[in-house]
Amino acid sequence: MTTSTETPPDAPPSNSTAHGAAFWFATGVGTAIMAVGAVEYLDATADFDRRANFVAFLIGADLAHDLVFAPLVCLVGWAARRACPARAWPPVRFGLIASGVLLLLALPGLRDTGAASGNPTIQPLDYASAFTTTIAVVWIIAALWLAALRVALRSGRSQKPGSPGQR
Amino acid sequence: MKVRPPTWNHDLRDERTAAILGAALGVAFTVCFVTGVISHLVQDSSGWFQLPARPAGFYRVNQGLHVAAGLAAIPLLAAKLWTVLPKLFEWPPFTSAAHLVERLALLPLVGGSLLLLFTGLANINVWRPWDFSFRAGHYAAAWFAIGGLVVHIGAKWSATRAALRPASRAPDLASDRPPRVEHHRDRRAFLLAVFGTAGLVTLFTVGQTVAPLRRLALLAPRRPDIGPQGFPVNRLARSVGLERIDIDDYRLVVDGPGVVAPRSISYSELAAMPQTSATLPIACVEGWSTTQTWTGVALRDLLAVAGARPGAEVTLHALHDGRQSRAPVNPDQAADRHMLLALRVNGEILHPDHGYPVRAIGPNRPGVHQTKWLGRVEVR
Repeated sequence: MTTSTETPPDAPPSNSTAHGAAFWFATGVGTAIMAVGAVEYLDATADFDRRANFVAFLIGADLAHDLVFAPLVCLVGWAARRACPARAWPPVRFGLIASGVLLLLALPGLRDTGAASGNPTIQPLDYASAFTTTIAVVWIIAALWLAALRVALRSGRSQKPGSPGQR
Repeated sequence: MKVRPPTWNHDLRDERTAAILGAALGVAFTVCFVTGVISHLVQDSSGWFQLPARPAGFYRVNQGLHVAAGLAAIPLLAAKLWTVLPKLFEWPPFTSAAHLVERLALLPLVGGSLLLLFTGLANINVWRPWDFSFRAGHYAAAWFAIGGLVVHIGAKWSATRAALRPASRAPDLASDRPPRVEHHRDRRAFLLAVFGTAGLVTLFTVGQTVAPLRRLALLAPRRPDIGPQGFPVNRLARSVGLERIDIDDYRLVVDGPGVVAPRSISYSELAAMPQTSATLPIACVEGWSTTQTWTGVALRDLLAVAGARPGAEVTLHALHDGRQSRAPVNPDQAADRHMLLALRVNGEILHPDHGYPVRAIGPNRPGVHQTKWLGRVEVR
């Protein structure tokens, strides 16, 4: 049973996080850990340009996510949800999430990033057809999920958004 | 179910979803951090951190877990960041010094985590669109991310515990909202989609180190059964100028302060010595591995012939200079019966890309230490 001082789990993420002694202890430990990382890096890399490049990538990763990837994903998700019938949304959402992530994983292979090494044992597969196979698997699973939802609905049981066999 | 117009304050952007994804990421990143630090220290040139010779497959499992957990974390991190995205735009940006600290810690946490997963995925695909050393940058980013994570856990601990408690599934009695049964179902469907994606990522990549699953490894950058003599190569012979070796001129030198009788042994003399066979994995730091049967002279036999003192430290030197031309063998490994100077693999003479004429291969050693094109065994 939730109390008035605890955040209800269905609530949007809130600012009511604890900032007591345990938080400050964790801050101390966390800062020490980060300091280890900084010392290790400065020790391993003397070159200023390389250090600057590393910091640029560290900050750039944040920015790339916040300014490019997050808006893109939200836009695609919003458009897809609008276009999709409500009942089909859970399996379609799975299909989109899985397809996007597998595309990310396949991109280096599809772009043949290992070609410059001249080593044919790096990225030895035909990644275009391999990737197509993985996408087919994803959407077959999504179709099975959708079929299971339809069966559940037709049989009069309340709709359960699980894959076949899950209760 | 009525179609609800999607809003910024999305159904799924709640404490429980964030907490579950956060806990899963915590597990994945802890596995990555522990296995990653082990791997980093083993390769450290000072050699203060050593692995014993047994279990023979420990490093292989360590690296396999590292890369598998890292890849599986990609969908988990993507979903977590999506779930908490509205918090990026909170106003005012902070309400106390502690709150500011909590938010600042997100920079190393999120930036470090994203950089880790990006550089990890890129590196195993031999793609390095950056100027810093992968090893140094990936390792430092790990400490930044874990440090940021500790601060984050410190701030979120009690809220996470509350959100993960089973009782929280009961309707919120503090509000007048009706039970959100549909909401719980959709959360389950969403999490199933995310964790299912992580499962597919693993299914389509882990075969690069778990041999029985290799045919499913459609998106892995290596296959453990593809390459000269049936397994992959990291460094080609031509990249170190050793495609052709005059075998009559070749000598394996065994010297150093730790031997009584330094030797310079020809290839045919090596082949004439008692041969030992061992089935051992090569485990690359990039998370792939392959098991083959190696035949050659046991290092401890060679050291005995040269009169090496017991417990000696050994350094292997390749015929070439530069990167990966040197590797340590600690006393425990040197004494192991399966620490070999291999002349053959699976019964065949070593291919030049696999280190002809002689390569070192031993139990529980990272791939970079299984020196190819061996030229000298230095004993101290």
